[in-house]
Amino acid sequence: MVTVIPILLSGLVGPGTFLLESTPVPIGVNGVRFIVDVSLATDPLPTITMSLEGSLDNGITWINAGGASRVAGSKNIIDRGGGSITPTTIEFMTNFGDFWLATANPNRLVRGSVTVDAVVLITASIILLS
Amino acid sequence: MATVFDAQSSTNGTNVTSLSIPAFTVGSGANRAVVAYYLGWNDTIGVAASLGADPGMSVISGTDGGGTTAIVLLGRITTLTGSQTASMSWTNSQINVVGGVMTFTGANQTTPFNNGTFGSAVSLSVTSTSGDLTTTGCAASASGNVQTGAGDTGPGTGTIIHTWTGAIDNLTTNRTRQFFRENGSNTSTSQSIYGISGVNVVQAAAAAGVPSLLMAPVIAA
Repeated sequence: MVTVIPILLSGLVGPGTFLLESTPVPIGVNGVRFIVDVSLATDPLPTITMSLEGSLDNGITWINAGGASRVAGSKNIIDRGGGSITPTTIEFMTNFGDFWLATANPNRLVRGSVTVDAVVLITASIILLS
Repeated sequence: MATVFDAQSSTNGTNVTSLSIPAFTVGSGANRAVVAYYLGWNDTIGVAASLGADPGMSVISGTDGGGTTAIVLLGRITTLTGSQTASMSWTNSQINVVGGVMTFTGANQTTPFNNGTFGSAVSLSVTSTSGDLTTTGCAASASGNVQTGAGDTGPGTGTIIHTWTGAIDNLTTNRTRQFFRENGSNTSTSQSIYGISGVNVVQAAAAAGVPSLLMAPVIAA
């Protein structure tokens, strides 16, 4: 089962930080996929940073639950073997670490953010995996 | 004191230049060391890694596959324990990349790593000594740009061969897969191995025995 949680609907945003407010994580969820769709963004891309924090105690304390970033630069990147490709997303996925392995904990919350350092047309969401 | 696997965590990314690896719990066993596994797509330029508040890790000699395998291992000793986060970064955006870390206890604090190596076959031999621990990071692809990355550990009993077969979870006997990541899925499918890097984690030196003292009896005058 997957649960999609939108952070940013498609539109021009930035520069700035856009928050995913604290959201319950159902029992059984064992991972996450954080996706920023840059297919409609103009080239070059700004610096884009994604981060997640998880709480195992209903928001009293928070720990790192994964993240990734891409420095500003061309949308085109070098493929294996030397060709050029144009990815349509920037994303990360994880199902390790103390937060995502606590699948039976009923008190889990996740929160996060997307930060861009210039105006860009993107969509952002996370997908809870189980 | 033999080297023992302690803990691990990992993340994979698409089209990124850094990964933040989720917090995991480092044990309190003596003589700790950490290895970071960069399993990239195109190159290893500018790869850096750190654990918590530690200084940055160093590239482990012999493990950098450069543009051939796009895999490199980094490591250092550490005194950190408890909940820790690791981070990795590199210069060029990789279409697919896996970043993992493992911690070990019982590691030599002067020379924690030796015999680093890399290759492009499904098997990699890592030279070790009984009581050491060998570890490898492997990357594979299927259907173009779908990448799998995984790390394993094995015993240190001479020349240890780590074999990652087509399905990357099918390891040589006595090797233990410690992390695994396939983009968009947790399911391992038939893969085309394109690189493995490995290293021997050296065991801590045996504690010196307490020297016995020969005491001359004191004879009262």
